[in-house]
Amino acid sequence: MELNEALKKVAVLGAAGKMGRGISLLLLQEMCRLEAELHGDVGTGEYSLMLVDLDAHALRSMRQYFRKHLRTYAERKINALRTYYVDHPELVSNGDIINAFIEGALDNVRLSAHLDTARQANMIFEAVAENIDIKSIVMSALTGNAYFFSNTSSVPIYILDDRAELNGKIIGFHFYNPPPIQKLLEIIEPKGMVPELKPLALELAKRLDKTIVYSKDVAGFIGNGHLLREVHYATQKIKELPYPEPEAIQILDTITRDYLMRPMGIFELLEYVGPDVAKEIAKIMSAHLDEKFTLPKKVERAETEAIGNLPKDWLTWKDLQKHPKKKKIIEKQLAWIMSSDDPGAKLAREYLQYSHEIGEKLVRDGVAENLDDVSTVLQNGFYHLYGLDQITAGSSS
Amino acid sequence: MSLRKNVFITAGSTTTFMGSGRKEFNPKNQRPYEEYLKETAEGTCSQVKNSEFDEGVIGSFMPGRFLNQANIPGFLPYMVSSLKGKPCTGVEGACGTGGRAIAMGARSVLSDLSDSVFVSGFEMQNSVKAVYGADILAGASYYRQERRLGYAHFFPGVFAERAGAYYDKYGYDETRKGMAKWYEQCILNARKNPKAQEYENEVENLIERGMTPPNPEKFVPHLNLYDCSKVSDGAASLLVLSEEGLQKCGVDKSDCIEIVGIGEAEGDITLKPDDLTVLSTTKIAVEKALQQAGISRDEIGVLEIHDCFSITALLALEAIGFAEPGTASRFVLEGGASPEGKIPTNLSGGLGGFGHPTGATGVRQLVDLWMQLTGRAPNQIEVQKPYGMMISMGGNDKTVTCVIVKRVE
Repeated sequence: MELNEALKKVAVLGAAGKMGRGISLLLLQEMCRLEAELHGDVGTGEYSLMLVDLDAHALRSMRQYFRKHLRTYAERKINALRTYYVDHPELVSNGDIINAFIEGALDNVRLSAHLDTARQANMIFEAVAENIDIKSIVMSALTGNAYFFSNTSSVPIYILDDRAELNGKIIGFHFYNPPPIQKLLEIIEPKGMVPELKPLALELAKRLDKTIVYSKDVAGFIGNGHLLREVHYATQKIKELPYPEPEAIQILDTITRDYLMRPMGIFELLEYVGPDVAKEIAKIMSAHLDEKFTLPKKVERAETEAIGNLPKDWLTWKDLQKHPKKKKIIEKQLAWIMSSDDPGAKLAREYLQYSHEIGEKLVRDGVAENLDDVSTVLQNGFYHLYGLDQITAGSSS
Repeated sequence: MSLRKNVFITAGSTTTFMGSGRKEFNPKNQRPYEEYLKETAEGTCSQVKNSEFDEGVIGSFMPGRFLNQANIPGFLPYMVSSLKGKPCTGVEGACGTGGRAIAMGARSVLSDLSDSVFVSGFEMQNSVKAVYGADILAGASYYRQERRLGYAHFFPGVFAERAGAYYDKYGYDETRKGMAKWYEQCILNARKNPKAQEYENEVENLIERGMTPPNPEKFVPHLNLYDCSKVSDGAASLLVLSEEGLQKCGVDKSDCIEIVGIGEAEGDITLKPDDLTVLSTTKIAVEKALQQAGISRDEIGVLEIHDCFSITALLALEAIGFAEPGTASRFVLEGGASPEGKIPTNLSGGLGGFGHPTGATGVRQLVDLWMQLTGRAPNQIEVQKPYGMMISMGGNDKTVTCVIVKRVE
């Protein structure tokens, strides 16, 4: 099936969740852009996005969410929209056209708490809870002609294919949070996937303007494969440090955020992902890989002075992200980490080296094709300011 | 025919022209427009001994759309309390509003109806996103006929057509370079004017930026973003006085310049330009003003033109006659419009550098000429000749006012 045809009927399962609503918005935007381009109008009845979620209240709030973000999207695409709507003499101003686009798009949305609603879809995107049983059950209820795109960040796709009996009509299509903003998309082709699904998925990824990284169908893929190992390392480190656990957590967050110039400390990131989600991911990865993934029992912080001092002119992630001389400053700061006697720098150095080792392991195990792919995930999915190659460059300078 | 009596300009004032590029600009927490009005009025009133004026004129293009505020003359007594109970008038002529407000003030003085007229212009455009602002500003065209098939970025699209025609007629390469040079000149001048929107612009290679290839998919053909003046908020004001007005307000002649020619011309808004490479209405306005002043263009020592787009600057230089048709780019590239050039132009930074709050611009231009000719300008040059000229243009060369002023000897 051609993508343009497939986009006429699309469903999202778990649509009102954190990832589901972002994925729904991206799909709605592309469906409606396509409809406008091909038909000169939106809301013709030919396109529908079926959004399924058990949380009726959250589902209802999506109209408001769409209204807000569709406006931003339409404002950005105004040049194209003016050409699409050229045969509507009643639409004169940019404002008229933007409003017509939004209202038409909302007409294309169907909200439902029943899985059956998704039965007529050509493409079904699942973004339900990170749990093999739940994912398998909902997808098995909808087997038929549809292609499935799973947003799982940890479950091997072949397992979902087997359990839900999808006959190879499933692909891993893992967005990063928040999906409308994050450029990264991990694509996972399970063994036995039907051949027509790949070009469909790739064309869609391109239309959604995503940066694609392929991952082998191994639990955790590249993103969580790296993150959960870092979390495991940090969790072990808490125990090794000669400080009470809340102070150690604070130290590790400071090291990973400020010293390593990342947007969040490692445990802050864990909280952002959600402790329950992280626990579920760790459970899945531990079950499918010959490795243990531990998380701290609880994340509590306490002020501590048991850490060194960063140089006075040190720039953090926030200072650096749009800095015109970012590259040079990062090189200089990494070189300091690699050579300083500061106790924080020593911890940061060990952490970075381990982070690099994780990348190498992912390549060795064939999960990622090369270190550049791991770096792409870290830089696009986790907003790191430098790739793994710069860690080694820093250690040699 | 020369003016029947002396008309003086003094007490010029402008606010900072606010918008993207100014560090203090915050689109989510904007300065209330009343503050711009008060600030400029206080700037003018503080320069005279007596601020009991006979009349007020205020120019604003689209406050009804940008601010949901009409009946703008009602703000004149708010700005200057002595105007309560006096004749106050609002003027609108799109981006040429300011020029027409000045002309209106001068008419009152010339007709002996007033001896002192407070003239102001203002606009606040950042109240809406640019994508909707484009719809509002499109009101400067023949909206019913032109808006629907126009570009999303409407006026950049209108002047992009002129740029495209100019490229076709006179060649792309030199024109493009001349436009980039114009952008550089705008910014370099703006950096010397603390109230200019581009005052804090720190871009190192301005020519490279000015040469950015146009992107019709995201913007318009033939023009890049740097060819365009920005969305701005701001206000400006000054006094138009007779000899008696000078006495009443306690103003010394040495603090004044004198209006010696006003050329006003209107083009039919329902008609397309005959020749996209010529500003024919501007040409008429300039000729009228020169004739009234009884001088030749070579006696002009400083110029403020309406460079809403870099192509408009080139066309204006040709319409005035400082460059032959098709040669304005070379003129600019050779430094003819630079502070040291044959005709120092837009020392304020112009619309491209100082900013362009539509209704305020014309008044701001005259304030800048007043500063240059009385030795008050932040970017002061030694003006070699006694006359200054400004062009205020509304829409696609439709509502044009050319004002010629001279130093008071």
